[in-house]
Amino acid sequence: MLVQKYQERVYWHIRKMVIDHEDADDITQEVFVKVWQKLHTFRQDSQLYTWIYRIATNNCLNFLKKKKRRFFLPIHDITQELTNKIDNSAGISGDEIQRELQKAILTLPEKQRLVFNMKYFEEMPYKDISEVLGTSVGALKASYHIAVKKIEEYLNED
Amino acid sequence: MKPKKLEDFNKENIYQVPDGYFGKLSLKIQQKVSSHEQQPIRIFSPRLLRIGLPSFAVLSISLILWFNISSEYNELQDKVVHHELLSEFSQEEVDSYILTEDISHIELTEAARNNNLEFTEKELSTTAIEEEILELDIDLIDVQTYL
Repeated sequence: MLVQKYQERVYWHIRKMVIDHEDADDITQEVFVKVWQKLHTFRQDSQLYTWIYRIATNNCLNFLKKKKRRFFLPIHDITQELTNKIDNSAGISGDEIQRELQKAILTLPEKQRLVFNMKYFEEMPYKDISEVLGTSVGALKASYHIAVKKIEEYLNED
Repeated sequence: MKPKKLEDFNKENIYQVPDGYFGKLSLKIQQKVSSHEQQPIRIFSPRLLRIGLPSFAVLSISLILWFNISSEYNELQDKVVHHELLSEFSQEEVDSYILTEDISHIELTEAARNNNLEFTEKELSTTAIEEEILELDIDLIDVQTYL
């Protein structure tokens, strides 16, 4: 029940962060196993879906951190690797303009990218994003505003 | 040329998944969850053992070494203190003290042991001392009168 209700939202949240389908698939499975194991620790003071999102977000950030550590890659190279996946991966469609937008999003720092994805694509309220990331609503608004400016600058570079 | 704005873009999801992926995903997750449920509970995880065992070994060796060194040091310090205390008195004063003071059998044994004197408990027993006195041809009555 729980898996069926949230699996798609969780998968897309992860996929937009790690880009690759196989990686997103692995992380989504890990997230739900963790949710199952830790369900007894869930406190009713937050919504269940923001709690699951929080676990998914932490798993994504850990995955990207491990990836950087494993290959001794700086942030710039990780961005480049993910950008190449947008150009070459079979599981990605969309026209050139949409691909450019995704590449622009990839230039953002990881946490800002999370904020942007949750606000822009998933249209989550700031209050819920705040529960997921443990950041104040004011800081999230500022982060989103800066993210939009950076993306527009990137799109107008060419 | 008009600058590009974010609102000009469609919110399109360009990422794709294989056909029927989400149907299979929930099955895979359920399988993983049930396999996790069947796993026996391990008190010591392999990671904990990998980190814990060498630390425990190092700690144990350190404790043993520390205990040995500290007990040897204490013994040595005791000997030094005894030696320093005795050196303040002349041999005559020490002999006189032993003869005149009421030193218990246990104290004598302990003193002999501390100073590595080869007296055994048997040698220090009352009967042995009396025999020694008899051998030395000392009048026991005189000794008793003296005491």
